[in-house]
Amino acid sequence: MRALTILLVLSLLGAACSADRSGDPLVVYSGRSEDLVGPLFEQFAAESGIEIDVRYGDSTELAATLILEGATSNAQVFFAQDPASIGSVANAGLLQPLEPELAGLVDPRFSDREGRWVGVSARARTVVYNPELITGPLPESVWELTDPEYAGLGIAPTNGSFLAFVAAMIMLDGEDQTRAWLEAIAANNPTPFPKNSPIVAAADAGEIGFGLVNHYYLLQLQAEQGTTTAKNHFLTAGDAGSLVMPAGIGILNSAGDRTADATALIEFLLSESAQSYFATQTFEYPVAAGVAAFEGLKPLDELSSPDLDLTRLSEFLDRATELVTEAGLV
Amino acid sequence: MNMIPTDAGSQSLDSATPRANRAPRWLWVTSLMVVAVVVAPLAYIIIEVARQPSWSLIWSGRTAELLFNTTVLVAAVTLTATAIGVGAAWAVTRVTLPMPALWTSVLALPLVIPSYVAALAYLAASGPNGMFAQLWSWPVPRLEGLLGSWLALSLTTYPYVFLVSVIALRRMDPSLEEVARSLGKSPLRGFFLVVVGQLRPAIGASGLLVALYTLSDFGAVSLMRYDTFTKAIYAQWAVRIDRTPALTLAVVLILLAAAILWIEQRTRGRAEYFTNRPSRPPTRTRLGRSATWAVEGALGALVVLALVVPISVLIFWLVRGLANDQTLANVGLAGLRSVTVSGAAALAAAVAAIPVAVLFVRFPSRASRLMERGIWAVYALPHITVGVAILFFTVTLVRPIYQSLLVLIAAYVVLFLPQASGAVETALRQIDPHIEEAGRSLGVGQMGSFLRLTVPLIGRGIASGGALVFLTVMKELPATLLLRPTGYDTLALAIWQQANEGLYTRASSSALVLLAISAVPMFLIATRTIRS
Amino acid sequence: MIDQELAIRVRGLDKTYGNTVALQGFNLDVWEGNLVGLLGPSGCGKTTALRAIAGFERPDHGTIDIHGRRIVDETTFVLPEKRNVGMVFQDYALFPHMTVASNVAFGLPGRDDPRVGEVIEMVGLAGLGTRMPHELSGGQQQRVALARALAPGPGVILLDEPFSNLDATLRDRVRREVRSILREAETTAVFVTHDQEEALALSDVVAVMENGTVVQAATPDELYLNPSTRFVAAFVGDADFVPGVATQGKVVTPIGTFETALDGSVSVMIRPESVSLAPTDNGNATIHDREFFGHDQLYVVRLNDGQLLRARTGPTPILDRHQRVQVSVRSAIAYPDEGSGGHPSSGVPGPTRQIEP
Repeated sequence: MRALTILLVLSLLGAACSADRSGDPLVVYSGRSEDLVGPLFEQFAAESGIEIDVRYGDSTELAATLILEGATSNAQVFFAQDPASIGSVANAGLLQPLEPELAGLVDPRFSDREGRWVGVSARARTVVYNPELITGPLPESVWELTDPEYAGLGIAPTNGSFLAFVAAMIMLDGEDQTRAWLEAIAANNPTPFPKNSPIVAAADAGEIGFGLVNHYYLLQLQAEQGTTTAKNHFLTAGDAGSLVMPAGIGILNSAGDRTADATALIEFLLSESAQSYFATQTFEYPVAAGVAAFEGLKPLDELSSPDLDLTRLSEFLDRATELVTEAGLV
Repeated sequence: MNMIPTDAGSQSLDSATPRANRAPRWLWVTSLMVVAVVVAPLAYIIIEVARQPSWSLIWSGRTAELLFNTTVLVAAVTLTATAIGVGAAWAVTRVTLPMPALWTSVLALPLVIPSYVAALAYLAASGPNGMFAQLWSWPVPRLEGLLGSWLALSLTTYPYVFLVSVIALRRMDPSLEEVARSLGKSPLRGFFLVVVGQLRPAIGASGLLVALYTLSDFGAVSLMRYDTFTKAIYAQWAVRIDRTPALTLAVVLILLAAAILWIEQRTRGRAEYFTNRPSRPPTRTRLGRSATWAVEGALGALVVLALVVPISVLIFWLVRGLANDQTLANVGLAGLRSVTVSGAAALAAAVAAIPVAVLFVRFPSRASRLMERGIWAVYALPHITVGVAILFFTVTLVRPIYQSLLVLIAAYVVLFLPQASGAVETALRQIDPHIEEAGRSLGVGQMGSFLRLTVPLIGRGIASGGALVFLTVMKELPATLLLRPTGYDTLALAIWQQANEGLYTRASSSALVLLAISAVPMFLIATRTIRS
Repeated sequence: MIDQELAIRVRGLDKTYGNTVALQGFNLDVWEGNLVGLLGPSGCGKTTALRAIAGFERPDHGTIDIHGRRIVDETTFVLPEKRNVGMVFQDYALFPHMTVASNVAFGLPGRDDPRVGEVIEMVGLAGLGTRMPHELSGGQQQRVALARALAPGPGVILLDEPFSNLDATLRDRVRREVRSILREAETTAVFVTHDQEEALALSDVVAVMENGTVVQAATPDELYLNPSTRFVAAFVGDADFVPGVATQGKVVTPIGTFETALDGSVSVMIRPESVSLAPTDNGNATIHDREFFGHDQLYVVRLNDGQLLRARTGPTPILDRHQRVQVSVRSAIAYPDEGSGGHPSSGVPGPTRQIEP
């Protein structure tokens, strides 16, 4: 009995002490999945000697958590999958301005205008499809996707990229049109997935005909399997469906004396080795260090991405999630 | 309201319970502290939502849709699990079968499979990419949505009904059935009148458990992509900056759970079922050969569907992945975390259970009954609601412990305290309460008598309660998802994340490890329950 | 008597549970070395009184002194573990996870105290020290309980219905053994029972309780021969009651006239052994039933007004049913009836004599 009590007290003390963060690893909230960016974190930890603890989750969820945690968050770095979620954290005043040299490493198109976050890699929205199931012409604009032939469309309505895409639609075309589009999609029997990669796998397997994803998931599947049945199709109408957006990273105000370490992490992610990793391992578009994109990839300038002030995207994120909820997709 | 199949063994000594003397103050203080910790987060979110409810969300079509979906699933699973459980229990206790003890143990085993693992397995088995398609080119349609959820949940919850019914059927006095026959009823009618009638409390209690479990389920329905309240609550929590919609839905779910409890109370009936040990074991019916084979066949099919299929699917995916040189998840570390946190939670729950159990059993009063109701009420709630409540509570009120392992363990205690306290209460009721008084009459103080005399005697009860908590925490998903410290991923969490990403090989390896670790305490609990 | 000290002194104990009054104005004196029986029907409060002395019930009012030390009053409550009062419970309450020796040694400072062996031997369980309680018979378990309570040498031992769990065949023998053990240990003891035969056989003093208070406390013979109320008379020993109205010092009944100091409506209490039957043709009763026990007989006779009366006689004479007999009574006690309308009762109940048939 006494031994048990001592054991319990010790384990509880140990547990309580895990709340104490000083001298502990650098805490990163990552809206990007472990599969994709885990190796990068490990490489950074090995090279720099700085220990990293990563909390993986949905970009939007982590943004909401950070805002709830407020100024005394446990995290020091936020690595988001899309500009809208990191933008909302910035707008809540939780990100500290980055060093100008750091921000200067990246194409300004892909960074926060006010220097609170920078893009680390860029990705384009695409429609993944299974050519064996689809015989007719492919869509050119996102508005066509409400047609009955696109029933069963694969979407990931809780995913940050999708929500950023909806926010972009509001910015470009207004709320009413966006609501109408969402309701039409919802009425068209969509197939919801929790994340993007299962959408691509499902398309490849022939479970669905079309899916709305980011461009690189298919390429990853191709690398894994050698070949895929499914293919990527870039929309050409220049609407929100052709959105190109960066995955952004920023340092939280709560970083305090870990700011130097956090800055080192960002520098690493913008370095040639990390950017090459993005180009050749995750098949995204690199944004720094002069690294070229993967050969088989359609070059960025050939994409019909709409002209959008990405910094303002976050202002529409809340409304986007409300509309998605009201349409019954979440 | 002891809903878990613990051993409610010999007759209680309630007739010898001393009248309610005043409980010592330290007992009140510790018990109140425990109950306060359990109840506070829930009270907090109810107050929070009551202050500014989002009526538009409550009265929306979406909520109606969620209500419909959830109700259909709960009703379907409860009916199915009850039918399967009672049927299997009858077969095992009342029909002459070879090796009935083995059948009983095997039929109880699916309890070890968490619903989301079953869901993972059925998903990975079906569909154009599933195991059946790959091995035998069977185009089994993808088991998802309502069908998949219903399947996964029914087949992992029927053992609750099964175990409780087996115990009840064993305890039944066969003379009652014979009395029915002597009064002119045919055997079948006698069966329905007497046996099923006496089974009502058992069916009621275990059916309630199944209904609440289904209501609370998050992992299976989200993998199966079936929109229920739990899935919506998590989604709202995940994507909205404003927490109110998630909290509102959580409170709606609380009301739904309360409604289920209310229905159970109303249909319970007022009969008192005196559970005395019958003078002889129940008679078994010897069926004809083909009928016996039919029964065995049905039981066998059940075992295949509920146990063999899921495990083979997991093994298949694991083997396939290894053959394709896929990387295995860091299962060892996740397993270690699961075991550590489950063990700590079991210990904490056992310790917290002792003062409250002593208070409820030895010093019953109106206040203590209210406290008991309070902790059982929280136990009945869906885990995601409690998780959201605790998360919200700690992040807004108790920041220093936010996201710490302490909160995670405390959350487990909040969620599963009655499992431990119920077991301790049962053990306490089997002890002569005069024993402590005898100790005191011999000069040993109250605390000393309690520690030297009562505690050793309830040790078994404490251990069994702790084992049950260990098992349940190993499988727990939604609260862990919300509350875990950064980077502290348990097996349950790893399975869910990997299954979500379609990484079936990794999910399978994590799932198999989870099953392996859970099987040991599960087997011990099941055999103890059956033997008693 | 002057040398004898008061071991336990209880005055004015009250205890109420919700709406139930368990004790009201309970008084008791227990002299050193005595074996006192608390006798009464179930619900009369005797167990509550015992537990109050032990310290497991806290009375609402009243005082308790043990060996001259104030244990309970308005401002004092000594905890049970500090009272040095041993207790033997109805179900023995042996510690199931300890051996007999460990049970007995529980109240002693050290397990190896030689007193353990002494006491085990004193109760007749020598050699069974290493057994576990569940390996013993009921009678043996009771002796362990007794030994355990005696081992620390308490000033007083309390026993709660100690023999009710034993087989009827064992009871007599065990009772006598327990009494001799208690005498040998020279311990003052109070025991609670509802069995009047047991109380009369074992106690030095019997306190009869009714409705939470002691109605009469006296030696067994005094209690039997001079019960102070109708209740005590009926509870202790067999008694039949014949109603009548007393006027001018006499009460007329179907079995004769008795002299009495009472006035008004009374009941005359007659014990079967004081009834004589003489067969005669014009007697005042007929034989209704008979039970033959060998060494005596118990007749039930029907009086002229239909009442039944019991008579205990020797093995002879043997009388047949419906035989007419003359009933006469050697001694009786008249008790006033309570609250009878018409004539108010008055006077002190007391023995009466039959003066006329």
